[in-house]
Amino acid sequence: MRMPQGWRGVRAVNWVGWLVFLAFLGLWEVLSRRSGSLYFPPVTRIVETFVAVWRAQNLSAHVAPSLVRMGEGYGAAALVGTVLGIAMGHWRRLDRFVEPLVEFFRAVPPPALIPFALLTMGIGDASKVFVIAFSSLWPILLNARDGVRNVDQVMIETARMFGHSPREVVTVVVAPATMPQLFAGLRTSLGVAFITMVIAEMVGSTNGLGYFILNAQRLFAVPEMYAGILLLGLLGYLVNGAFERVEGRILGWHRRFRAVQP
Amino acid sequence: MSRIVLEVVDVSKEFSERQRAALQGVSFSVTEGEFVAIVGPSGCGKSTLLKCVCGLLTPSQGEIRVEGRRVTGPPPGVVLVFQEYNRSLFPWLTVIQNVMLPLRKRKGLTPLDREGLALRMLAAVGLDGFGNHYPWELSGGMQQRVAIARALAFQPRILLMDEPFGSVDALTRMELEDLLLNLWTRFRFTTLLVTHDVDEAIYLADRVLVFSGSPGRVVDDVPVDLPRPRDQITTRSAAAFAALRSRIFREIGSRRPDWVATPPGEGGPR
Repeated sequence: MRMPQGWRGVRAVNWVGWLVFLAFLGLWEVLSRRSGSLYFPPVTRIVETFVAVWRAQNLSAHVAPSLVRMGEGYGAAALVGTVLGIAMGHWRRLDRFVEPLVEFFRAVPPPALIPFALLTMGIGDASKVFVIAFSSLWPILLNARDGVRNVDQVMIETARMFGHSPREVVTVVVAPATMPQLFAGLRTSLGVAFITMVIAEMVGSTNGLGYFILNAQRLFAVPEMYAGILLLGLLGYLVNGAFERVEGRILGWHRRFRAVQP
Repeated sequence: MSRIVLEVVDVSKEFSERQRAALQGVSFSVTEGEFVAIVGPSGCGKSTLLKCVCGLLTPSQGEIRVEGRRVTGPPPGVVLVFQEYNRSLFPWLTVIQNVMLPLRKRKGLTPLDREGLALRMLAAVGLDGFGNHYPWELSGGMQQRVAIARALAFQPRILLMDEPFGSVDALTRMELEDLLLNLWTRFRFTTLLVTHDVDEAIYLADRVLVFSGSPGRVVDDVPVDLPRPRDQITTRSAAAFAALRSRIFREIGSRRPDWVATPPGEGGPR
């Protein structure tokens, strides 16, 4: 007898939502054409510009640097945050040692560190990567720590009883049990890293998507500015989708587990 | 006289954070293949005792010997089934993977051996065909059967059970009791079961140890000479069953705290 799963978790195409989205674009098009406003070019114009702008040269000049910075900063944060978070969850003493420090740094809005980063690391990639890593470190770190801390004692005792050493308990119980919360942190940080990347590139950079958008605005190239925003939106959507795929691979059980929890 | 496999010698346990002793001077022994039940009020240290026996806790005083060897860590061949099956089964593993957990540390088994053994244990608890489900897709009674199958896969010589049927409904509880008796007869492991249900203790066990509360002590050791195989209806309606039941209830009842024993209007505030 399999417990009924119902329709929860089944994801059909959201036709209504897409229809609303198309209606929004249509309304924009109509209103824009009627008003002739310089600041609100018609959708068709934005799309034309988008296709014209995002060719090989601009892709390598602006999109590639952004993605590389994002990847490096986020990757570093994921690595450091996971390792340090697990260590803090595991050794209470370490947690007590660094907790005030962590609480302080986490409270600092990351863009506030951009001037500091530019001053000490220059206008190159390093400063941007640092700020991105700094901003996305905390959600990963704290979720990893809490995940380890919240592992059910009964599960640990179960593994111990079946002859696993304390070190084996970490791989057999603690790691898989922490995974759902670790991924919650990784997901939050992905969005944070994206935002920080754009801000950092707007403040002090000579390339990248953030720089491109700000520069287009300054040059009064309004459709180009929109083309940049549109690409950012698409990239965010794609990166999120890729993340969900990885998460679904690793945590497929958890999504269905949560769906049947009372 | 059968061989003694488990000796509990003058065991006391105090938790430093609570000062009050959970167990005080507990001594008893269990012979090979015996089914012993422990009953007592909640908070009498029954669970603490089981955790000491399987090496998850260390007694403050006294010692526990399994097959003559003093317990210092989880002893091989001793396994505990927790009441909280939903907390002891791993939700990220399927049923069969959960049952194979105790086999990971067993040497000389091929993956095929492990799977075969796990499948046999699932069949023994009546769950063939459920191996690829996740435990949380099953009902409470079925989940506890998975936990029992997992314990059996360890091929224990001593099976410890901590209120194993405390979180299932009454009918399922009866089914699980009979399943346990069936498995016990078939595999002949020694069983030490903790329960607060006096009837369950008598129905299942060869001997009932009656505990008193805070600190936990053994106050009586009651042999159950009811014939086997036992039956939920005939055994429970036997006169001998009722006699044992009254004796144990009296043991526990005479030690109830004052606020239970005082009838209203007598000595209490009016």
